[in-house]
Amino acid sequence: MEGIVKGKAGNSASGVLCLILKWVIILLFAVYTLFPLLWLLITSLKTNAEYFNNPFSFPAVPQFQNYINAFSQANLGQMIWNSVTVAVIATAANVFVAAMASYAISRFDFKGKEIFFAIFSAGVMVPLNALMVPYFTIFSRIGLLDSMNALRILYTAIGLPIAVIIIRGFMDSLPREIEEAAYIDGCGFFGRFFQIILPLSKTGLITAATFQFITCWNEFVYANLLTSSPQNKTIQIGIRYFTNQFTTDYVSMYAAIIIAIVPSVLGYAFFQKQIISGMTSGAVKG
Amino acid sequence: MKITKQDRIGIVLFLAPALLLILVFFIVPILSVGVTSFFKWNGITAPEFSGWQNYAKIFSDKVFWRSARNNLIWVAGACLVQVPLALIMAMVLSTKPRGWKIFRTVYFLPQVISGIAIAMLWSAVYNSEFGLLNGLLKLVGLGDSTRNWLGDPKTAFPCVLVYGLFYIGYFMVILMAGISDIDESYYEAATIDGASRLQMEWHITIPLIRYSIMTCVTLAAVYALRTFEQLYLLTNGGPANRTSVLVLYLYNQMRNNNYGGANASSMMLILTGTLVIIVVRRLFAEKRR
Amino acid sequence: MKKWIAFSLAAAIGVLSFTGCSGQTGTASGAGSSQAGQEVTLTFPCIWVGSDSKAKVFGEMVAGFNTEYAGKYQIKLEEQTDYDAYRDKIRTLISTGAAPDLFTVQDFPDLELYASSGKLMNLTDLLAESDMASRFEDGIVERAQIDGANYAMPYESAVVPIMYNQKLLEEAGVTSIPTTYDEFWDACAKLKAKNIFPTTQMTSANAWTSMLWYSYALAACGGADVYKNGFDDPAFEKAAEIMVKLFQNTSSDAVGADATVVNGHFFNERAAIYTNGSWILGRIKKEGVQGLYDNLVLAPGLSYGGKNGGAYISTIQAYLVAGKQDDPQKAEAAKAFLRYVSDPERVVELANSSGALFAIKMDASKIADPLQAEIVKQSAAASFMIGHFQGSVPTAVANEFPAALESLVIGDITPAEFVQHLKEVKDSNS
Repeated sequence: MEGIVKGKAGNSASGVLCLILKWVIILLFAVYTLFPLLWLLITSLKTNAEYFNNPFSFPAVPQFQNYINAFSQANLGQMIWNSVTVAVIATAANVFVAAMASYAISRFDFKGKEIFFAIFSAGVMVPLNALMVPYFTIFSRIGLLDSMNALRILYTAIGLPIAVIIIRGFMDSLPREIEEAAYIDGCGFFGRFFQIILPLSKTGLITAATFQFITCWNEFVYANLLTSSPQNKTIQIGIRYFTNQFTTDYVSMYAAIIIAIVPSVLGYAFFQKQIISGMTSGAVKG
Repeated sequence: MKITKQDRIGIVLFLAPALLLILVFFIVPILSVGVTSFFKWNGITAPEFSGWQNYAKIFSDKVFWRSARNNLIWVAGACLVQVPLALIMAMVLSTKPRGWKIFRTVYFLPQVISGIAIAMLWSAVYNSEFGLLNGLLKLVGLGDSTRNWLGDPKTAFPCVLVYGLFYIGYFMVILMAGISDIDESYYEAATIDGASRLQMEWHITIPLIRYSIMTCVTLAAVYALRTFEQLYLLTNGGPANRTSVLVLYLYNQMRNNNYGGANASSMMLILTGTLVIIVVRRLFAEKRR
Repeated sequence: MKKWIAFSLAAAIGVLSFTGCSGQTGTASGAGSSQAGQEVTLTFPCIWVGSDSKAKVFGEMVAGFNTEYAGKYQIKLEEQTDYDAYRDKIRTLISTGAAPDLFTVQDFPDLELYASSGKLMNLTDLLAESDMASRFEDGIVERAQIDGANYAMPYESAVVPIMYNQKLLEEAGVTSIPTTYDEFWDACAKLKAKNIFPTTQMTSANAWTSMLWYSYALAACGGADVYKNGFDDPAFEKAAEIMVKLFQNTSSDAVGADATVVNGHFFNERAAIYTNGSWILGRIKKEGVQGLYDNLVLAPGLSYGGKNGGAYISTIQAYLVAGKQDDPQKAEAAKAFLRYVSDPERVVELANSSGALFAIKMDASKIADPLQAEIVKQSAAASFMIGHFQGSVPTAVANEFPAALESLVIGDITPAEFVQHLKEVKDSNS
């Protein structure tokens, strides 16, 4: 594709215009999306007094101890580790369960399959804040209060609607013919899933995984409700460690937020790298 | 391809885990929400049956309707502005300009930054005393149009909408993944035929990623209906409920210990959302297969 | 298809019977009674942790209790910082099972709600013990009663003066601290002429500082019994008129402003007059511009029409609450803890370290911070004490206040409609 664009750009005036327009769009958006991060970085190096005086000033002296504060006071290291393990397990389980369900719905025509899809996807609309009492009851009944397994199970479940919507969308776009050959060769239900559909849906699975990972990483309400011991707390609780009843230590909170961004950006970059390798290994859509 | 007996067993086995989780974490809780929406309940003492009273109350509440209207505007904005923007950016980045991998991560960054920080930033940007927006307007000689953007009933909701709709990272990820699955030979053939870049995008890319677009439109609409955190943190529905949305409305009912009313609002939200998902799928269904 | 239905139904029934409906009772932590001589552990989900100003000394107090009662009682703190999340959690715990062994409640209406669950320990006898009863400010224990019983020990109180920046007042030519609203508006006009924001107002979150201004206006217009009289008292409308005027005498960003904006203006000498509880003094010293603390003059409420001047806002903003216990030893442990933390000596230490004030009697001379001591003195000498609006009206009304205030000051509704609206909210939620 690169060749095509370069060729065009070299050839005509409209190509040049296209190229300029393209870069204007790219850079404008980059500025728009980088701005919050830059602001956060600068603000996290200020004192609270400087921040109150003007949210857009630069720090007189960079306050690196905000980061030390954030790390030592809130025990962020343990919390990040907890969040990573919760997010990784809940993402893997979620995507696998969603892929199985999507395969059944997308690749087979049976009566009521759209009803199943509706049941699965309607959950996306549920305002989760309204379910504190039922969720708390469930986990107290099965004796999983104050445990990270509660979060792993809950996150696997609450991400299902979105994962099913995304993965089904990708599986629907795979042509029927590709399974038919395998079917004729005697490849069964499970063989076609593991050997054909799953590998071909890789981009869809990764996209769903990206969403799910970020959801797990950012979830706060239930992390706070269902855990109480320090060893079970996640990073979002760490960020709120600096907001108290009447006062908030903003600069330390911003430092904690910056620290919390790093693993999720790494996770995102890792997932997206998988998509590139998917791109070169041969495409199938048509 | 016929459905064999093995397929039938497989389908049951493959649907079972998802179904179990959905039952426990969605259907049963939603049923309990649905049932308690017919009760007067403060969350602590025993609920009292009150029939349709909770629904009657929210339907006669101006704030509920204003919230619903804001939600619908948001849905329209998400489908007509946010997704097309994400599509344009996805197509631009898929031509792999220099440094595209970096941009792809950069565009996604706002999604991973805690909502608290983003809200604090934007309330400072829109602030009338030291805000960046007013500063910018003064700089270019538009000092007359400076104002307290989030405190002015005329501008508050548009400002919130602008801030919400320009974060397109999620949808761009889905669309880029869709584009990455397209076979390059389509473009090569089109280039030989002398098609322009725009023609190729219109006639090749968009039809081939229609499922991804459908996914995006569905999610964009659903997210727009569910919008909560950014508004809660940025304006809390103010000024005078001008920026209220349904989830904020139901959250406030919860804060008032009016769980019956909150659950009635939840049911309305779930019904509207399900309707939206069905409508979106119908709209795109014509183009399938 | 039949198979599907059968399968789904079976699964649904299984799950339903498994989770059942909520609201069953049971004890949250470690049911059953403990053997004599065995250590009893109580859990205390606590917000006075992290960067809270009371965290350090309160933590030491708990450690001190654990040492003193080693082998007998043990208090385990569960750290909770975000107050809204804390409130959600406490409510969910009470709603689904049992109240935590120990916890705190900010607003009296919440306490009433939790008490109605029957899951709170009755502390009436404890607070009536002669040693305990003498510790508290006069009348405070009685005011915290619900149907004649105490389900909570009043602990931290918000004592709120009006704070004037003397330096800015002098710059504007205001020579004396106003004592009437007429003098106050006069001072505001002079400050405005010098491009100084006369007051600080906000409407975001719970509209905290503006809610305090409204409380002072109510005290001035309606006197000590204004909340008892209810919304039919004309004071509510008069005070709303004062709010409209206050919003004409503040920064342009007041509508939608949060605490950072308000504090930013006052801490940086952009605004001259401010209200907040005593705990803010520590932050003024640390985060305000050089010399701000020394320029502050504190004063009680203003008079309106020659009446009701010199009032002081004081509201309990943390009640210590214990969950009902089946095990008498646990109940004893909770009571021992409440006795321990309300010990006047320890409370003075907590006050000195945090800037907070308490429902426990304190000698102003033992308070190290001069302005904090001044608040204790002034409030003791106040013509009358009155709670703030948020703590004196039902939860739904307090929650509606910010939006109603916004409607009022942007001109959607008149002061009369403002009061009418709050009244309707009260009636429809009762």
